Amino acid sequence: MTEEMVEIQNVTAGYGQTAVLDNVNLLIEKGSFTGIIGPNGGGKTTLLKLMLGLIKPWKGQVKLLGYNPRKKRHCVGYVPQASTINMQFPISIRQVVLSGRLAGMKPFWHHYRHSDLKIVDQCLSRLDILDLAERQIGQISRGQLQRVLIARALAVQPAMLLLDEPTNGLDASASSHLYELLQKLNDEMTIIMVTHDTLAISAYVKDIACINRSLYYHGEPNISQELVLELYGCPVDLIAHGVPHRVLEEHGGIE
Amino acid sequence: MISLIAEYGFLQNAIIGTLLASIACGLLGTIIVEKKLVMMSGGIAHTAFGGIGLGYFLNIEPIYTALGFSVFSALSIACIQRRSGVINDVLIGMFWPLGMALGIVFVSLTPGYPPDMTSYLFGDILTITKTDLIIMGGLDLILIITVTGIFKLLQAYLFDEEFSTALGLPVVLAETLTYIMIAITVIVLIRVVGIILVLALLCVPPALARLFKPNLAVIMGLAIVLSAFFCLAGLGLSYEYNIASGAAIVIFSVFVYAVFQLLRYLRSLFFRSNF
Ligand SMILES: Nc1ncnc2c1ncn2[C@@H]1O[C@H](COP(=O)(O)OP(=O)(O)OP(=O)(O)O)[C@@H](O)[C@H]1O
Ligand SMILES: [Mg+2]
Repeated sequence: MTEEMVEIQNVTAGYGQTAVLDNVNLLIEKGSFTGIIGPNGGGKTTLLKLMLGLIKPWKGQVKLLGYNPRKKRHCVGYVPQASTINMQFPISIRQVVLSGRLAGMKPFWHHYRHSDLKIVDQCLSRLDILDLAERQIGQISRGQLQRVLIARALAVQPAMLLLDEPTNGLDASASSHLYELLQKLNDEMTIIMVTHDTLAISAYVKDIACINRSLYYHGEPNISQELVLELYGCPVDLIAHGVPHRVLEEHGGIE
Repeated sequence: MISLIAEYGFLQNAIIGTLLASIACGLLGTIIVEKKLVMMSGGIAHTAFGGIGLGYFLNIEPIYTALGFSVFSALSIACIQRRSGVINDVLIGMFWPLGMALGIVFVSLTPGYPPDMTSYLFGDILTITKTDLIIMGGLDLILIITVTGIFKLLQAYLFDEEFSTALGLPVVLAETLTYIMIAITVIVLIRVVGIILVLALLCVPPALARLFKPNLAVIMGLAIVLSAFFCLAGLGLSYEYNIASGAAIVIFSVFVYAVFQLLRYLRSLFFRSNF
């Protein structure tokens, strides 16, 4: 029997007066590795926030592991968009990753247990950043920051990982390194990843979901040029199973 | 100077007062700077003026009404912000003068000769009383217990609010306590630097301390030491040259910060020219 990790039913959501997502339905099954793609401002981050209960849907229902997201979100490892991290903050890498162990903490006089420290060490070495542990957050590179954020999410010991553009700002080799790591992690947990790296994901993810205000497609990672046109409004160098379409040529015809 | 201190009770009070103020200053100043709540704190400080006016109007010791007023407004601000998403800046721009305006209205409604408010606006550390010290000490104790008690939560909240929320941490509690503590800090500092000058004493020590890139707890400790230094030096200057103590403290601390940054700049120029 397949288990639903995330269940989104007829969800409409937005900020203030403007709807960002309109009538979205999406099921994420246990063990899947889903890539979410779509244009800027298409609502990808918003979708992740809905899954975490950070924002409430206007209409429809979001369920995480069968419950209200607020009840179960401590079972999820969230890797936010790196640009949201305050790199000036006086905190060491080890402390950042340790904060992943705070789930279910008591607010007053909380102390980390010995097991917490061990889990953090494991996460750090798994991401190959154990040697950075005592550095300040402001003293690491973008690629290293991405690893730190993933290590923090793994320290939660999650049933599911949610990643928001984890390869943004990484070079090609660091990106593929990261994807391979995620693929390995996928043996243990469900993964949902927002990305703009559309050319590469078809090689790694099991499913893709295309979001632009509504869900255009969810399924195997091969989609038609028509769908891409519909999704992005213009042809994009994309997927289509290893047959990339040239962006420049097609744009050239218009100018 | 030492013999003077032994001789004059008011100087003893002043010195104990600066040390008590430094504790609040270092702890909350650090939080405020890291969470970028500096202007917010300025706003909360100015609402305290409304409370002082209310105190005169009701004929209660103004410091108590100021405490109540600023805690109340800090909580309302936090609440409005969370619920409505009004831009922070705009909100501050409204309640900052609102607090002052209420203070003025209350004072003008107060029967009799209008009281002198300057000691609350600019601080007057040389007139600090034993009662003031007891209040300051009690409030300090609340701050120390709260900050050490929720330190891990506080650090998580300050560093990454969204992740902490996603982790199911009581972020709203952390935020609420932070705002209450800001209000308390303002009251602790009122006697030393006054409402108008509070901001400098809240920013400069942690801003200097964080240049050494230590962790949050060390910044707090360092900021306490630095603000004690600024306050004592300012006190000395004010006594020596007979200028207002709050002004002396603010001018001295900003001056030290500027000199320090200038030295850093010169040093970086020097090192670069060597390559
Ligand atoms: N906090 C917010 N308040 C108001 N509007 C917002 C907020 N966050 C996002 N939006 C709007 O919602 C829309 C969708 O934003 P979202 O961040 O979900 O897009 P995205 O698909 O993640 O884009 P990107 O690829 O640029 O990260 C955008 O038009 C954005 O302007
Ligand atoms: Mg986004």
